[in-house]
Amino acid sequence: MITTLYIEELKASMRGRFAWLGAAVILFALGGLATVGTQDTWLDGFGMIAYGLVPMAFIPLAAGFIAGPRANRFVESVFTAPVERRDWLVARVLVLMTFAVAYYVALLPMLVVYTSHVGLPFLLGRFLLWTPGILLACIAVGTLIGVMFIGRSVGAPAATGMGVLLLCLGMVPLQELMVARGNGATRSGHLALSSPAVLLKNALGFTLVAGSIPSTTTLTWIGFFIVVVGAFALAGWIFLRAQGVETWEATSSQRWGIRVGIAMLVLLPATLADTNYDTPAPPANNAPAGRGGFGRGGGALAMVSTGRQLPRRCCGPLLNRETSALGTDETNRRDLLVLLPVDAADHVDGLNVRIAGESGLTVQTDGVQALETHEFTNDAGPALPDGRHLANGWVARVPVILTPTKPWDIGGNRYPLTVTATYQVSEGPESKTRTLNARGAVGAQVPGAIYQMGIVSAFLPLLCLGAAISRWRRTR
Amino acid sequence: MIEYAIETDGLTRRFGDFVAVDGVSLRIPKGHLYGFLGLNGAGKTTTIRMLTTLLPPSGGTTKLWGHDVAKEPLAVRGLVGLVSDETSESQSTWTAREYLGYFARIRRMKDADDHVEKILNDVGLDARFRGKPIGNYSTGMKRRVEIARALMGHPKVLFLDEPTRGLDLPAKRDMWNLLRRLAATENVTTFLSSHDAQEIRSLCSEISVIANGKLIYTGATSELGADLDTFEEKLIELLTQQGRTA
Repeated sequence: MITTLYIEELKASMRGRFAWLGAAVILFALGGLATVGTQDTWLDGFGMIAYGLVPMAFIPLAAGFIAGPRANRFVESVFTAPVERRDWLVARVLVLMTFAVAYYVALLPMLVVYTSHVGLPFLLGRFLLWTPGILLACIAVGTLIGVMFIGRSVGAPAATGMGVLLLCLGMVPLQELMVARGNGATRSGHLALSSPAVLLKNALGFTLVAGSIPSTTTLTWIGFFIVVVGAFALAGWIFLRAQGVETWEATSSQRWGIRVGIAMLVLLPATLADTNYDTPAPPANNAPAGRGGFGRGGGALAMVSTGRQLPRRCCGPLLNRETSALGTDETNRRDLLVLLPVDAADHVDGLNVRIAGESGLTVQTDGVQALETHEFTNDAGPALPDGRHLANGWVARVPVILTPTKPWDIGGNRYPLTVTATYQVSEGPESKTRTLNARGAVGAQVPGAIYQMGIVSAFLPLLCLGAAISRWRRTR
Repeated sequence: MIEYAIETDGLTRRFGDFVAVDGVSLRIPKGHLYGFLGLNGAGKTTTIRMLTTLLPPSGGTTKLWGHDVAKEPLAVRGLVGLVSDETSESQSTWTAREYLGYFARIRRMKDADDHVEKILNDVGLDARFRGKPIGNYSTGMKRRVEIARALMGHPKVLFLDEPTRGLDLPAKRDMWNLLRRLAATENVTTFLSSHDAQEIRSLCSEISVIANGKLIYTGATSELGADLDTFEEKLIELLTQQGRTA
């Protein structure tokens, strides 16, 4: 009977006026995000949203889905047919789980594009386990919320689900922040563990930004298990033992049991879970360890397209921020401009520039092509030893061929490079040898990934759109 | 020996301190078209919801075709069909075929699609509209779909809760004819709840009148008057007396 009910409920769930259209819009939005994400931070941006945030939306979805048939009185028709209430509830939950699986599968095409280029980084591997866990926990919590509301509107359960979603979601950055500040084991730190997403994140041993993870996870797993099994069990017990088809039939002791049960679901995992944040968090991917070091500083290097002049906005640590990113595994011709801290009034001789790429960046150069003077405005020129900024100085133009290899992300790869320039400066009758050491980075992305991601991510939403149009034409 | 489709003894339902149905005892023979009259809030719907397993009774016993409603709800559900006034509205984006197909399949009926078409023919829903969303139907068409749903699985007892509320006069007449035809051809016991005296008088040979949760009259419809005016006057007298007593 459960199978028949499951199939019928599954078919029925896609008969809503906007069911297929809604699915198409959600998948288009996710696909668009995945496509844009190829230009930078796919894993941090798209990954966090698609694998963490959207699955949590199953809390209000499940709450509305379970409460809906009672709100619109459809249950009156169902339960005057020979249907067991237990079978119906199981079928509804199975339909929700099918939605969850469908969502997970809908992310696969984008995952395939990503992993085909950069493999499976640690964080994505953990996301792949995190998402089904979140989906399961959110369906359990949403089902409990949905069962609790008997009324003529799905507004109340959906809004409650949304509130719980925001709470669970907000706990993720809060817990990361508290761990980063060393407050992960405080009472507030424990409270943050009432979110199933945080519990599972700790249990799987990864972080999003914090530097440490708990050294043990057994109690965290138990806490997560309590949330999932407890929420399902309590929802089932309330639905079958404390309620009628559309009425609360709970005795006084049952009411107390429900209150205590809900309190336990919130407090037990938060109290139990491990908070010994003593183990360094594993790196999210194979990015060079120093990538954060390019956030500030620089000023002696710039990169332009061949033959172009030094840009007005100059010169950040990411050398090609103002121009297009380099393509990985292909040769990229650029002019590297080395801003020598030498006044244009002085004479520069014997200039030699050596460039070394790191983290898989190979750099070929035939040496300095030209030595040019450049007028700097607004103190944008290189700083002199006495602190002054050059107003008019020498710039060495070095044509380079850059080949970023072994990308660790589909976009936003930052390859460090070190430039060492030695030169002689003639100041009056004297000539001094100077050395300039400068570090910068070039941004690179997998070429063509944006098109591949765009195409594969459009397939499923188009299919949903087709289904929506087909149903509309069939029933108009 | 008379065989009863519905037997209740002291059927009671409380909501907190409020007694919605108070010790109702009914005996309705099989195959009868039985009327259940009362004002708004008298306890008609609550009684029907208990008889159809939708609401657990607070007291008393109820048997439907010999099955205890509280102890054997699944067996009872296999015997009943319920037409209430709003339920088809709940799935306004489904087509009539989809709506009835759902119930045919959860009742595990063989050749569900053929059965749906046959039952839609029986209730007289125009074939042109069967593939259109129920939300686009007129009130009369929606009521036909509901009756078709209630007849799915050949119920032994059909409960009709205000089946013609909101219908215009021609649609109401159509509905009455349909109910008479079903009673004659399907031989189901029909329990018709309404506060429309004319409807009850036209359709039912026996009635019960409920007020403030208690039965105040059970007997032949004709005993309350030979014409509609007398029937209504007697009915008002009964209800007024009960109001004074309460």
